[in-house]
Formats: sequence, structure tokens, C-alpha cells
Amino acid sequence: MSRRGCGLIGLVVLILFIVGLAGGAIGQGMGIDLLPQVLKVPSLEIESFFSGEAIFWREGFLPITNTLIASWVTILVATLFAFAATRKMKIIPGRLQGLVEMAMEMLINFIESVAGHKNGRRFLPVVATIFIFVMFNAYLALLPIYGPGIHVTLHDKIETRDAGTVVELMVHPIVEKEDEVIAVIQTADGAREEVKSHQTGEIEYIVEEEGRVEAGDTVAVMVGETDNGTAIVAPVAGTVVKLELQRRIEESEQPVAKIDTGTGEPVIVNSPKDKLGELEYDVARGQVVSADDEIAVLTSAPPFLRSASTDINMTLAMALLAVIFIELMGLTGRGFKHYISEYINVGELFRGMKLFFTGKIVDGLMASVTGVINVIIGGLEFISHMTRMVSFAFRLFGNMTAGEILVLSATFLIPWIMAMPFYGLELLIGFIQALIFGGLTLVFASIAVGHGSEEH
Amino acid sequence: MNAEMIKFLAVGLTGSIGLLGPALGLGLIGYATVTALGRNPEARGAILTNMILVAALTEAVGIYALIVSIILAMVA
Repeated sequence: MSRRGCGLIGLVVLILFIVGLAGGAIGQGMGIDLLPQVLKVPSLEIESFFSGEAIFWREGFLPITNTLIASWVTILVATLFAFAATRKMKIIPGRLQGLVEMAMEMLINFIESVAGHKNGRRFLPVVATIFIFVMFNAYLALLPIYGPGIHVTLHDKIETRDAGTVVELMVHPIVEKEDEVIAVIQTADGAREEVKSHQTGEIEYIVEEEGRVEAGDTVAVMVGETDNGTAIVAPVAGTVVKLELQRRIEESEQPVAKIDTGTGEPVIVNSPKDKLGELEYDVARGQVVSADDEIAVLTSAPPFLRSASTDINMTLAMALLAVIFIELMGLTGRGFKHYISEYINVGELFRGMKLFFTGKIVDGLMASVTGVINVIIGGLEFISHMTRMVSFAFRLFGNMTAGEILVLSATFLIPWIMAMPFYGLELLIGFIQALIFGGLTLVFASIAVGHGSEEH
Repeated sequence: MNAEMIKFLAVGLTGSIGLLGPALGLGLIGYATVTALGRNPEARGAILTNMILVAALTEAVGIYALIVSIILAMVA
């Protein structure tokens, strides 16, 4: 690229950085507020930390979460990628085939260097699958179509236009209408000015009643649409006879439930006006409710796709697979007797007992003590094998979630430019975590197999 | 000292004390890597691969502390 081109790109990056710095959270904190509302980067609120949120939901069936859909997408993309690379195989590979061959060769070399040729070939399918799946998950999650598991709320400052004295604060914590009067200010010339909200949401006052304000002072800060959800309450007491089991409310005032009061027509409960989103029921069919009981909670819609590794269920399932694979390899590689003697090691104890009861009391006692220690070690071994599962699951989950939060925080502090180096870091982390997950499975499996052959 | 204060103290202390160990560990890994590289520069590839693997394992411990403190901050 020419020097001029580089200079131009550098200039654009610099301008974006300055605008981002001034318009982001740091700039807002310093009192600069030049971005229009639409471009403002929302603040962070962690919504569902450990697992994805259900997108499709029917009573009695497995809920389909956004992380699950993301993992399907990963499988699809990986399969299509492999298919495209191997569809027309040539002796002299093209670019895509060459790339895949190179990657496969590196994987095979890595696995064989750890586990040896014979075992390496046996471990390859599982280890390589784990590696590829984790890496594709991590890389696909960097695409903009993937949403965060962190909830988006809009902070909004409400400012005065004139200096004056605050004469009245409407002390409702929740603003339910746009353009609701939230404060009245008396200016020096006696005119009363109403300060209105721009959006609905929760409100926090900065000024006090009877206090002085200057023009442009912040009266209150609004947190728009906090997603504690809107509760839908029963208008009457009665029995719930029907739940409209729709998961997503896409139009205002949809029927949500039907309550039979026992006298005449059942009462239909509608979702609130102008509120859309996800519905979560708190009652079941046939349950008796009293008036003002909460029937359901309406929260705004979660993102359709979310990085699969940020769901603890996903990583736990993979950890379970890895641990079962490791134990199975230990079992088949060393035979049942050797495998089980690692956990239940009572041989020495029985030998000591035998010696003890046949008269060799001192030798017998010594051997018994060693035997008891062996039994305890066997138990510890079992526990350490099982804790692998937890550490597998939490390592991947923690790294991916931390990465997501890191990118979001960077975007929040200084929009656009600041996030870019962290995307680069995430590319590295995704690769390394895939390597760690696959590599540890490989190492543990080769230890599980290898022990036996050393002892024989 | 009210409950809120104690909660934030717990969050901060979990993060900071929990990160002491991994920080020390990462330092030791870096020290050992540089020493090994100085002694045996030809084995650069193997040393770096192992370093990255162990560094990520150590880092994961810090991530556990991070998760615990986030849970404390959110839930408690």
C-alpha cells in the first residue's frame, strides 16, 4: 500500500479514536457528550451469566437456547468448511485444500508427538473434534451477528434548559411514559419549566427539591428498560385455566393467561401495553391465584445467537465427554484389573491383614498401614479425576466469558477503536483455549493409557 | 460497615487475592522460559509451546477468581 493510503487509514483511525474517546463512557464521565442518542454505547448489565436464554420454548420440551443454536451453527459451518475443502480433492492441492491439509498435518503431528504413533491415531478423532469445535465456536462468536450475554440498557441524562430552583420532583422511581414530567423548575423570572423524560425506565434523581440548578445541569439519570422485567399480575383471584404458551410477545396486549373466578366468564389476562419481549411464566395451569399475584414476567428479547462456550451447560457437556473418553481409554488400554486398582487399591491392605493374622505382627502392621494409605490415595485419585471435569468446564467457560466481557467493556469505555486490539487478543485466546482443551484431553488420555504399559 | 460494603469488599478481595497466585505463577513461567531459552536457544519451538500451554493453565486459575467475584457482585 502507498504511504498516502497508510496515512489516510491512520488519520481515520485517529479520528475515530478521538470521537470514541469523547463520546464513550470516559468522555461522558468527563462531561463531553457529543454523540447522538442512537450512537451511544449502552452500559453493561450482566443478565444471564451462566447459561444462554431460551429462544424457542414449549411446555414439556427442552428449551432451545441461543447458545445451543450457536453451537448448531458452529457444527454446520465446520461441516460445510470441511466439505468445501475436500469436495474436489487434487494431488496438487488448491488454496483451501492446502490450508486444511496443513492444519490437519499440524494437528496430527502435535497429537503423535504427545501420545506416540499408535495411541495418537486412536486419540485423533476425539481430540481434533474438540479442538476444531472449540476454535470455531470462539472465532464465530467474534462475528457481529452474535449478541452478548450481557444485557443492554440505555442510560439517559435529563437536563434542565434554564437555571432556577427545583420546586417539584415527581418521585416515581419508574417512568412509564415517554414525555412524562419528572421535575418542575422555577426560573428567575418566575416562569415554571417542566423537565420531561425522553424514554421509559427507572429514574434516579441527582438534584434535590428546593435546590438551585444551572442551565444544562443534570436533573436525573434514567436507566431505560431495566430488565428486571415487567411483572404481569392477576387482576382477580381464581384458578388459572389456560396459559397461552407463547414464548415471545411480538405485539402489544396479547392474551397471556385465562383465570376462572368461579363466577361466570373466565378473565383473560393480557400482556402490558407497548411491551414486547420474552415471557416467563410463574404459575402453572390449574394453580389457584389470588388477586395481584404475579403470573408472568416479561423481559426484552435476548440475542438470537450467543457464543456457545459462554454457556456452562455446553462446556460441562464437553468436559463430560472428555472425561468419559479419558476413562474409557484407561479402561481399554490397561484392562479392567489395572484400571480399577488405581481407584480401589486394597491389595496391600489384604496382604498386611494376612501377615498380621498369620503371626507376623510387626510386618503385618506395617503393611496394613501402607495399605490404608493406598486406599486413601485411591480415593484421592478418583476425586482428582472427577475434578478434572469441573476445571475443564470452568476454564473454557471462564475464558470465553471473560473475553466477551473484556470486548464489551472496551467498547463501552472507548467505542469502536478500543475494541479492535481485544478482538486480536480474542483470536489468540480462542486458539489457545482450543489447544488447551484438546491438549489436556490428549495428555490425560495418554497418561491413562501409558501408566499400564510402564508397569507391565 | 453495612452489608453492601462487605459485599464490595468481598468482591474486590476475591479478585485481588485470587489473582496474586496466577500473577506469581505467570512470572515464574516467564522467568523459567527465558532461562531455558538462554540455555538452549535451539529448543525455542518446544519451549514456547509448553510455555503457552502452562501460561493458559495458570491464567485459568485467575479466571476462576474472576468468576467467583462476578458471581458475588451479581448474586450476593
